[in-house]
Amino acid sequence: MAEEVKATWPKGEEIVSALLEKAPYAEGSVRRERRLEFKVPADRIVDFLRTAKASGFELLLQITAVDWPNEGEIELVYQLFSISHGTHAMAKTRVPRDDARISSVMDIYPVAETYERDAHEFYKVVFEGNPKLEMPWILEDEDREAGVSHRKDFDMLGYVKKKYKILDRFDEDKENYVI
Amino acid sequence: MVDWRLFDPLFEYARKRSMWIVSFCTGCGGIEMPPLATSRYDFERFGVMPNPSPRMADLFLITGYVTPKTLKRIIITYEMQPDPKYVLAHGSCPLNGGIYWDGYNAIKHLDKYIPVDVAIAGCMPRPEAVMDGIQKMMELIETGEADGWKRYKENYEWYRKNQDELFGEGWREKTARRWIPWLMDKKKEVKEE
Amino acid sequence: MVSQQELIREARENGMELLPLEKDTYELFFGPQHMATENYSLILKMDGHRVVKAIANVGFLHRGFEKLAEYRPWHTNIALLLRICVPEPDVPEAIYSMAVDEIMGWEVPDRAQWIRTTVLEMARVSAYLFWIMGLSFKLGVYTAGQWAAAYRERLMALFEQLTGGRVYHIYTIPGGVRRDIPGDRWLRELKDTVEYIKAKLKDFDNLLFENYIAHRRLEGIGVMDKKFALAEGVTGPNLRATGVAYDVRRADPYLLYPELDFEVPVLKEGDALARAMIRRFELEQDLYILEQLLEMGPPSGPYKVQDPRLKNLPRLKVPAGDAFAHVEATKGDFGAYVVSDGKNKPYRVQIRGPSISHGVRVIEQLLVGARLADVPVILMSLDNCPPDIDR
Repeated sequence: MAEEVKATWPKGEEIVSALLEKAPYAEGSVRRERRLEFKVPADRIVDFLRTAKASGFELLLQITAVDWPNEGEIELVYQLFSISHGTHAMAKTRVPRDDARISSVMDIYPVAETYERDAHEFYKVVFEGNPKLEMPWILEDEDREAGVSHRKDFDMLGYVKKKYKILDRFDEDKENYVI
Repeated sequence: MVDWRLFDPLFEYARKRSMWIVSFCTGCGGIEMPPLATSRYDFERFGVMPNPSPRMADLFLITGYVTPKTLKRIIITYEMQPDPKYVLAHGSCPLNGGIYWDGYNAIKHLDKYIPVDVAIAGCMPRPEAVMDGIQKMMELIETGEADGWKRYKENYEWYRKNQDELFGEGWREKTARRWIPWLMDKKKEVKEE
Repeated sequence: MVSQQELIREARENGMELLPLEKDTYELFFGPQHMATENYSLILKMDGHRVVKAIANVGFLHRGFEKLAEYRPWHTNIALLLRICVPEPDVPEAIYSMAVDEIMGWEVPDRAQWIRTTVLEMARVSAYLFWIMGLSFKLGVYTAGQWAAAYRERLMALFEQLTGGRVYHIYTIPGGVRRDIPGDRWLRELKDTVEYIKAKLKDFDNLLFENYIAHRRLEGIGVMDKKFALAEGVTGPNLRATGVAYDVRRADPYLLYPELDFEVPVLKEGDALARAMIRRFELEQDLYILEQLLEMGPPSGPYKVQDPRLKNLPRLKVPAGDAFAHVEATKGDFGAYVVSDGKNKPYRVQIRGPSISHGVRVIEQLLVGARLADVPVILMSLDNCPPDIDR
């Protein structure tokens, strides 16, 4: 089954090679029909997205942050969609976990402002050039101060125990809860 | 001087037949409100009617899970309502957290922060269950057992302490001021003046 | 008579701030306790009855799904993630299941694909009826709203027969669906319902969509152009109302959609009226799709993947990998990005709700210059769904 999934998609190969010609610093591949994947170094992401928008990727659907504590990195996945080519593409980049900084792509896709606020709130990634990062978003001030985040090292059960004072339902020795 | 207590049974009877609800559909249960209010399960025949302003409302429906951010507004809205006022908690989440029992942003026991008169179990409760809850509420009003608003007055310190523990001291002022710097065109003006 | 300066000084001395903060304008906190916003708050700066500045205050429905999903086994997440989109809960189920299917390398059987497509289309019809109800209540055409809510109940009853749940179905699971179609009677009832709603569309036209008052009320407010909409990542009917024919069912076909015949309605005006009309045409197309599906009939075969791993769902392990899946919801492009590291729980689930693009920045910009009375109508014409944003 796995070989079948990897079947090539000639149109995708063309799109990837055309884009990589303009952006030689990136790596690109075709995953399956209508799914492309690019790996971009973090300092070139603005250039890459500008090139991508010029070559037909009109929509930025989401910026997903994935925390990889073992590798000490946070992966940012820019989900792009091209209406003219009819394909989805992921642009993946990695930033160090301790000092998660990357420049904002607001100039290219204005909607990125919202996505960046979201990623900043939950993954503490700083997007340089975004004026609204400090603006209240989803969490309340007291949650922000208490350090709520979606990073892997955030101890959710401990936080819940402390915040809502419901000790009867939690057992400290247990690792897994049957739900 | 007339002793108005003599008329209490009449007042209670009138109250039970004209419960106006605050149109503050918190959480997912809001999706069942339109079917309840329209032709299939028409709850207007019990005298229940949605009403935009909390100043004229008697019944507060907590339709679903409550997040701390919403709870602040719920408390403020609840305190704006005139007496007598009744709270009907809808679904499992206000009772014990429901599916969000380990979630960091859902209230686990609503009863600690505002008094709840009737709770309906289930996720999501069917409209029939909600109507049953409303009928239970009517019974309790008639017998005078729906006394959540009295409990809130008598034990205000306890409720206030729980609220302050959750949100931190002075949360009302902080929430009111939170957006001021972002509304001003120049951020500096607020700080300097 | 105390002058304004003195009042302000006195207030400051007592540790208060007097509003308004600026001359000639005042601040209006619109929601969350408001009939039009539903757990969504707008902070408006008003000059008379015109909006000068709008800020969206979101997060009233934030439950941290993306974090909670990392603590639950793969199949339990279905019961969790569907609560993201309350009017059409089948959409988050479907995208999550599609993404997991892709990582597992499962080819979903034909029968399951047919059922999934039918359920998605039924969800679309019921969400559109719900939207018609919302719009007509905002416009004051209460009769159309009452009808729409009543017709939606027929679909709710069908969902109940199929899945056992009225609002939350928990029906689509990775590898197929949870149980089979109850029988031919259900198909006949669905057919009757589709015909019934189709016949009633004319009534909605007379009362709402061809109503002179509704047209005057909707025309020319909240206008977006094509370039703005694309830059702001607007998808779905809101984007199609500006002249871009982007529909996920056509641009990135999934399930049975390549075999189905339907049109993608496009209008150019980009105002609230165009958005309303697009939704009305799409409702017709969805009913047409359901008719085709019923004519096709459910293919025979199993309704889920024949895999021994599905027998023991709590111990289901998904190989390491990641996948993105998206479907066309009534609000727009609804996507899920799922990452697995080979354990029995997801490593990361991100849900992309369509409202995150048109519910925050777009509303903030469209409301500038609008009248206060138009604010609920613009919100409703964009079909803003706050749980998508908050998750």
